[in-house]
Amino acid sequence: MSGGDRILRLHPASGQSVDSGESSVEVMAGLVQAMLDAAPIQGAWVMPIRDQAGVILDFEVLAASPEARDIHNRTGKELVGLRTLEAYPGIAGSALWDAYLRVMETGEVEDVDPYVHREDGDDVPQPSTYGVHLARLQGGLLTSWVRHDRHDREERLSARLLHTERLGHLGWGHWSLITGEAEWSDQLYVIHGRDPAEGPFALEHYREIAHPDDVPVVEHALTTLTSTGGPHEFEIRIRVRDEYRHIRATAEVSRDAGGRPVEIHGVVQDVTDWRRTADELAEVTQRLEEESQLTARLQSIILPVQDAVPGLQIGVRYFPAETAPLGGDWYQAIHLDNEEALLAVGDVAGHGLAAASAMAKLRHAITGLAFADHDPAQILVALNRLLRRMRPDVLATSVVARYRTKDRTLRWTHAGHPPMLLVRGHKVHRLLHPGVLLGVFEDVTYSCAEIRLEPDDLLLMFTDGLIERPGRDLFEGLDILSAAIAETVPQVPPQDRVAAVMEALAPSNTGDDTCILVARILPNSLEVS
Amino acid sequence: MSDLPNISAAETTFAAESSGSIGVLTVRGTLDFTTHEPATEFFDKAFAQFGPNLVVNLLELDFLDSRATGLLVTCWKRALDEGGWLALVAVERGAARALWITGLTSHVPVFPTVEDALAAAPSRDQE
Repeated sequence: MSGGDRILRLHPASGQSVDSGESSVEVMAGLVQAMLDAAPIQGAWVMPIRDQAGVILDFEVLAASPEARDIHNRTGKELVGLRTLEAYPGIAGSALWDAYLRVMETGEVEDVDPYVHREDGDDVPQPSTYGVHLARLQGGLLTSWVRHDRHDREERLSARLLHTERLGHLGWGHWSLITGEAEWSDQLYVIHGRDPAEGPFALEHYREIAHPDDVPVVEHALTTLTSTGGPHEFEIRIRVRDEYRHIRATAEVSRDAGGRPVEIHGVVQDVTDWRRTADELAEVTQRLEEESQLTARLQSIILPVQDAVPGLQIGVRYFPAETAPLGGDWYQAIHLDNEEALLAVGDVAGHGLAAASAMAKLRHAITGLAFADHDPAQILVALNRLLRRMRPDVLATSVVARYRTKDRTLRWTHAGHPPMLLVRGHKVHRLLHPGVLLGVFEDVTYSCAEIRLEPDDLLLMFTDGLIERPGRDLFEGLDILSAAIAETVPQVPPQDRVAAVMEALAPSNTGDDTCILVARILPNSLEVS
Repeated sequence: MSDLPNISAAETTFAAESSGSIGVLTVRGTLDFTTHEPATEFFDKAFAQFGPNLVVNLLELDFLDSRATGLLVTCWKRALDEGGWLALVAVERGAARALWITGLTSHVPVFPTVEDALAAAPSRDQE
């Protein structure tokens, strides 16, 4: 734009028919301004600026309504004097600019709606949508406009709804009960795998696409809705292309003033993924439940109720770990057929079925070897070989003893196991005869120790869960255990001591399983507990 | 030791440094079934980083259960299988008592200090 005086370059007449002076333009501007001041519109009167050849270069605002607001939030009189292309470069070359020129040319009123204004600038919303009305007036243009901000909001709302529907696998639909017409949201078509061009289907169509097992649910839902009409929720499987999808629908009927059902509204959610996950979870839960019952049964099979053993009064107790119902600790106390008894306690490292199955192997092997008249040392050598061969992944410890009734002799040995305790009178002794644990080394040997027991002696075998505790030496734990027993024993007569000791002992480490075996030497070897 | 260490027993830390061609690993805190997974991972990484010549310092251990004892044995065997050497540093009184009770100390080398363990390491070519 060249500089110079604005007034000089004004050519107020459109066409060449009228030739008013500058003063008449100013008069007109005053009149139009007065009119705009009274009109509840956003409007401005703009005058073309032409070059010498009469070509329109730009427009200048000569009057503006008080309510007029431009894209930069200038209002009313602030707009006067602004040139269109200078102030709003985005208009250049736009449909609005073409319309400006056309209306100037033809004099026919035009609406440019929507006019989407694009312009660079920090304060300019991108893009902004207007409806603009153009009329030729006294050699200029009367432009009036509305901004479609409200429409933008609606669009945003609608976009948000679309996102919500898509993210939530949600769709909604209306089915008119009067006209039979229906309206679906976009996502409802997606959920049903239906082309929007086909339009919605009638509610009755659900009978055809529902899984055969779910047809009664559809029937019930349709009946409920049309009779009581209250909100009804149902879940069915529908065939979508070549698979069944789970949908959950919530529907209700709206009625007219006379209570007549008018329309059914429904919100439908595709819950297939959720349903699959829930089903899988239920399956896993059931499997765990079954495994838990199985392990409980296994435990009772592996560690049965104690049979009577001649010459000994025996108590056994098994504490499972708090976190695992099935552990690797085991005991055995059994009458061998030659007036001898086998007493043993062992620990297979770990929990669960793997540990339990190794434990069962060991326990049965020990029993078999004891019946084959192996002494404890031979039994452990064989057990070590068995583990190395059959379960190289397993580490185990054990204390194994044979008790001969006729001369009250106990022969025993340890494989990496905490010592036995012997309670004689009111004193507690450790019976330690260490050997290496089972399942680690290929060639190991064990040796037996032997002791003559006295009537009313108590033997205590247990696993490490009874004495181990963080921050404590195992032998400290053993001393604490011994002290507890020494305190308990004098308080009860010999025949009650097994029960009393069992009662007094509780695992120190509840994260591990614990097994306790207490045996009392009966004074009369013919006496059976 | 009083009962006080119980309070901090849940903390378990693993540290590793090298001393010549030998990796010196220190485990502090609890070594039991609750720390089995990080412990296994730690030893795996130690083998990857230092090779099979390792000293495992257990002097600052609060607790060693039977399963963790098994893990130490597994590491010791692995070191032998890979042509290396693994020694434990522990004293009989304390959390590592299980090593004696299980009879492992008669097979796996155990030393009272890290220095003793390093001094006892088989000599090898230092290049």
